[in-house]
Amino acid sequence: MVVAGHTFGLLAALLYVCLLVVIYVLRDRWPLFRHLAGRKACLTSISIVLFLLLVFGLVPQDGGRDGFFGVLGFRNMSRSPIFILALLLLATSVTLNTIEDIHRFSKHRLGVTCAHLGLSVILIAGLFGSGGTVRTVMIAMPNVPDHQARNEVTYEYVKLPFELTLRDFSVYEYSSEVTLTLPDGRSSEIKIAVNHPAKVGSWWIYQSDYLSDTERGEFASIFKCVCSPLSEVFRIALWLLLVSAAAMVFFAGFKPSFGKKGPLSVKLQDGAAPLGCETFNEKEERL
Amino acid sequence: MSWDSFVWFALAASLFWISGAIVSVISKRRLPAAVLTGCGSAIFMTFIVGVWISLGRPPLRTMGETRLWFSLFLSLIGLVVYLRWRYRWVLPFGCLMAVMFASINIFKPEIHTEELAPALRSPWFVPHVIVYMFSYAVMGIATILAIRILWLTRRSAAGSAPATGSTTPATVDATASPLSPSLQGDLRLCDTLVRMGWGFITMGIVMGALWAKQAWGDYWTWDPKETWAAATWLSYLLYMHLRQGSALSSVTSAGSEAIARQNSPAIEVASHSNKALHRTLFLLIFSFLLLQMCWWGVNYLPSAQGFSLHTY
Repeated sequence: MVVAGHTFGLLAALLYVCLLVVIYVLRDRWPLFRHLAGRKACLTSISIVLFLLLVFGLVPQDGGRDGFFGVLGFRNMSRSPIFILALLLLATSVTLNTIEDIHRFSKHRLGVTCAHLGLSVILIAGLFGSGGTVRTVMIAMPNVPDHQARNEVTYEYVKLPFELTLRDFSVYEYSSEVTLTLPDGRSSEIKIAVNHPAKVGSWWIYQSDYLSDTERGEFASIFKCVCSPLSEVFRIALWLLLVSAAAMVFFAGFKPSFGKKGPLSVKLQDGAAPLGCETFNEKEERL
Repeated sequence: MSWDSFVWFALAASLFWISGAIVSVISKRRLPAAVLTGCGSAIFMTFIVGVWISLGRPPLRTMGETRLWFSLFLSLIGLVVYLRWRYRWVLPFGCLMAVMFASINIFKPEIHTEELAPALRSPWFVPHVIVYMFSYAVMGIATILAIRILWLTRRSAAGSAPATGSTTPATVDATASPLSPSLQGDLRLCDTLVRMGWGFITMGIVMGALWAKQAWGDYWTWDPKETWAAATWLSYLLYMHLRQGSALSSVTSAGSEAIARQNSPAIEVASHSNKALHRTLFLLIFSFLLLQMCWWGVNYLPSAQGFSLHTY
């Protein structure tokens, strides 16, 4: 099920990116495509997502379906069709700008290109990649081997590709000593703590919580087992965004403001921009 | 070093900061004001380091502890802007805000000496919170600049004398801009600070996401604090894109002006630009309000009660 969801999401994402490349190529022939790739679409998509976030920030996200906001799906933002559509519009705008950045690559815009690319990948992976992610919860009793965990969304039991046996739990360190057994019989002693998850294949095991039996003086550990095939894609995109943000901070104090120096100042002095240099955002402004 | 000694450190730092602010106003030399402000910041930093050592953890956990960093960064950013861009009035503003937040900590400390919760024992904790506090301070200064530009342009539009005040010489072509040269300098600094602050906010968000993945298995869960952080981030992003767009517009105007200078009613263009600029600057102030909501407002928000891991 994980593989099927992941493959479907990956194919959908690839198709979506291909579609955007076609839109970018045909943007001069179709006014709709030009507008979709333009500055106004960018501002509109940011404004819509911002507005929705303000509403979601003020409405309790309890998943309820009653009342005005519940009927509209505003009480469960991660499943709200309006929000997903708004994010899709934002992803479209960012990705089209990313394609343009790459097509008309300039080292002066390297930071912006990286930021656009990172954000684009995050949005696309978030929109199309969630189908392949499985989040489960396992309650591990002391010295009882277990290889099943309950899906957080469907509450069905999922058979994990490994077996965990809780040996010890430390309340002070909030960590568990665990025996990990793989299907081929190999086993190893590992320690799982908050901020120090264990990785088994594409699965991550997190120390989530614990249960205490005060009479026996024993503890049960609650582990969160997550399989997220696109986890590394997110990580790379986030690091890309982090580096571009750091570059932005570093150069903010040295780089002149919009329109002061660089290509734009040439336009200021000469009056008109050479067509080969203008972006389609600028072209839209000109048109 | 304990919190009991905070009042003495805060008083000493405040005295230096206020002295630096006064000297920056009355003296043309920058060094005395910079040294006085720097001494205040050093005293304040000494206290933070001392508390860090005595607690055995970074003082970044409670609202009172984050206000410590906010005061420190406000004074430091005011100092950097004063030295780097020669904005004389930014230093007193930054210092006075730093004194104000230090005073809040004296009267409402919101501190305790508990150890860090397990989830906070992460290498991401310190950089995540510090870059955020730094961004808050940078955006605070940018907001003050926006208010100043709004106030001066409105006063100017009402028929009073042309707005002046900044010591920065103007270098931007003002053909399509309604602003006086000094206010253009202010606006340019405002843009620079927002770009810098947005970079810090982005770093804070990304570090938080990487940390959340390590601690809880998800990069992002739309927790109320995260929702408001995303709203703040997008609001500043909108400001930057609008400003970039207005720069492009002014470029287009400037380009066409060479051809149609006589046909373009300059006052009309200026009035239009002025309105657009005002809207953009109001967006900047609105963004700062969102930032406050993200920082502490979410703690009091009914929608966040029981749904947020970040309310404290």
